[in-house]
Amino acid sequence: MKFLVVDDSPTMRRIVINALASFGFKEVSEAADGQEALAKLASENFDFIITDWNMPNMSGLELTLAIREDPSMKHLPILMVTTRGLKQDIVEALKAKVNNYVVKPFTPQVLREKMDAVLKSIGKSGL
Amino acid sequence: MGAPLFNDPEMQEIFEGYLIETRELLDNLSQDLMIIEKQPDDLELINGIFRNFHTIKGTSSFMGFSVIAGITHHAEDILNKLRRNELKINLPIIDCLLQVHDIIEGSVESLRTGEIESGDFSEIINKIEELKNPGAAPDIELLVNEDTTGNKKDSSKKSKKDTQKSALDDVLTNQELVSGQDDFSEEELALIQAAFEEVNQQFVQDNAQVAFIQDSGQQVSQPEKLSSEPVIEKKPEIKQVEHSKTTNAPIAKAGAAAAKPASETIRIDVNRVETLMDLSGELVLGRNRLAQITDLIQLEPDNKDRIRELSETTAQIDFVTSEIQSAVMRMRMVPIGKLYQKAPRIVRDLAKEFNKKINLVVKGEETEIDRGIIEELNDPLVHMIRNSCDHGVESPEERVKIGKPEIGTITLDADQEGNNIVLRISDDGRGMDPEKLKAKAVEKGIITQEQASTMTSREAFQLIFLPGFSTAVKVSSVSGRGVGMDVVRTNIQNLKGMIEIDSTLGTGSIFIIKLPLTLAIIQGLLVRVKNETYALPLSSVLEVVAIDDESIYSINQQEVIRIRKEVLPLLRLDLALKVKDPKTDLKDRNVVVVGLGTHKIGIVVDDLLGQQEIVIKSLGEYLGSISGIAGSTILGDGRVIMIIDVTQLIQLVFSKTIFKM
Ligand SMILES: [Mg+2]
Repeated sequence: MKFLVVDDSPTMRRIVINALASFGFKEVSEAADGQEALAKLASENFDFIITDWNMPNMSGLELTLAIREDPSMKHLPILMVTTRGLKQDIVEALKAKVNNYVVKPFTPQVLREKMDAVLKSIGKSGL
Repeated sequence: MGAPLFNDPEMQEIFEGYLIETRELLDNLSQDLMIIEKQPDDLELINGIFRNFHTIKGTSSFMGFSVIAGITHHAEDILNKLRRNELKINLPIIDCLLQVHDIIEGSVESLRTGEIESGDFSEIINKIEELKNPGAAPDIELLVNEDTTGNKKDSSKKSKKDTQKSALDDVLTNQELVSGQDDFSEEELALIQAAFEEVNQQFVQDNAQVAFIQDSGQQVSQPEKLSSEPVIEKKPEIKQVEHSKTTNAPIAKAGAAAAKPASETIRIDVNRVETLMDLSGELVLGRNRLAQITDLIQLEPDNKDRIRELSETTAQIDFVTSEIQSAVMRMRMVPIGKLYQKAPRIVRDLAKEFNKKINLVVKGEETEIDRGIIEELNDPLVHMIRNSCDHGVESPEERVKIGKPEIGTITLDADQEGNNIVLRISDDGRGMDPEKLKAKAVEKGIITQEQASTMTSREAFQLIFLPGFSTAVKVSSVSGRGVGMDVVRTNIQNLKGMIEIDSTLGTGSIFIIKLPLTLAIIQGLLVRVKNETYALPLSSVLEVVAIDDESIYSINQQEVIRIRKEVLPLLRLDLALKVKDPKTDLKDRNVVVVGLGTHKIGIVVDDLLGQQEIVIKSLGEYLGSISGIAGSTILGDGRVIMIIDVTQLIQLVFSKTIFKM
């Protein structure tokens, strides 16, 4: 399982990557914004994307929209990590077809639960 | 090494990264908050400011720094309103945001030194709340988005899709849910999760079709089984300084005395590291070659080819070594812009304090300088900016009256000149009156009337650097400490630099600071005194003259030398350094003229041995500091020699003579 962690904060990336490592997922790439993520996605294959919402250049929401429009990537599960728990934001995330969201700060356990929920819901957990 | 704040090395590492990142975000913020004052409609900028606070809030909450996270949350709130155009930016808001910036800065600084964050910030939080809610503060410009809210309520989408009711539709159309900002209730959360479930079902269907079309061309790797067994949660562990676990909060009440700053981490451009990697590779090649040649030479000691190869390899290693030296030096270099970053804020606050209008111009920010020097320059710079704002730039009324533009200008400039960095702080203010300065110095008993009468304007300007001259400095919130210009000069001299002033009455003043590029490597002039070799920093050497008896005489028991029209006090290095059996006559000896600002002396040495690049090493703890000696260095032949502290020698001479420093 290969992850792409997208966040403009190196500290946040580190926190998510450490949590993933504690689950046993060591194959992780990182990107600092949506544009960098798209560049990574163009050259490597990933199985799961965990992205921040608010980033310069290209936000997590814009990244999601771009991925969902691309036939070669639209199948990728996306978990949005954000401090924004605003209701209108959730509506936007739903519209963009984010698979789920997790609100900062979260414990590794909550992250794990959300990841499980996404994979179960898109029928991948049984594999 | 200081005691780390976190027990877990992984957390400690994240914490150190957090400190660097937050420092950068704060720097961005202070810059952007300055610009937004001039470009209040720049939405891009407001978004950037929001994002910086937002990131600080996010990472701080993860680290368990609830004070920072809490106050940042309030800043974020107000910025959210600005972003959505529900509020218009104004000065009180910018002031508030700057205050929040300062609070975060202070808290992060205490965390860095191992203290816990604390403080009562209810006042600023109340202020933000007031500014945020227009009712409480009627004088705030406000654009309420009434149309949007009103329309939203009218346009009910429910009628469109009431046939197939779904959680997704519900979430998308539920007005209460959509417009509210409060925490979600259990039912709402369930509804939202159900909505995501629907999105995911649609997602699966869409991708099933895609998979069918795409065939199995792309290998999708098998996800590891994600089971729901509990994961051991790694909570940030904090070193408990006191015996008991007093609180559940991640930050324990650490005894301030036990806490020490976390080890310092710096960021280095990857390219610079790679250059160094390449160079060290070349060094290894050279070393291997050298070992080979040594073996071969032992077999055939007289082979000329081998000896030629040896000297070639030595030359190559010599080249690589100096390249490595400069590469390592460059790693310590940072753009001076780092130092200038705080200037806009300082000028803004001071202009406000003194009721002046001042524009700040910054040039040459990209000029690089040693990290250690930058840190030491901060206080002198703040003080000089303060000086220019306070004493330099006139009040707007005064400026208009004398035909100057209402807004004064302070310019910070940096440039590299040879092995030096030159900083200039200039203003277009009232300038300095050398006669007034002299009169004040005489009045304070710092100089005599006679000295004043022979003093040039340039020398008179230097008077402001004398201790006790500028006592009128008010301790303010900006400079923080009540330092005078004498401290500024001492700081700069400690950095092996010098400061000079030029000023034109009515037109403005300029402070010129000259500093070495780095403190670690200097060009040295090697001199002989009896059997000993010493190094003098070439940066302070003005000229070297051979002694001719006629030019030497005595004034008030002080030996002096006349060089052209100037009379300089003389210092015999052998006497000053207490070398055994000093020579009594001056025959065949040399005088090295060294200068510091406008103070010059002649140092008598036996011989000149040429110049060389030297790496300064401190004398080590057991030697402590020796008067007149700045440090030591090792010469190519392995000899350890002392480096002369020119500043100290000059001070020594001037403290004894009628000229006081
Ligand atoms: Mg972000």
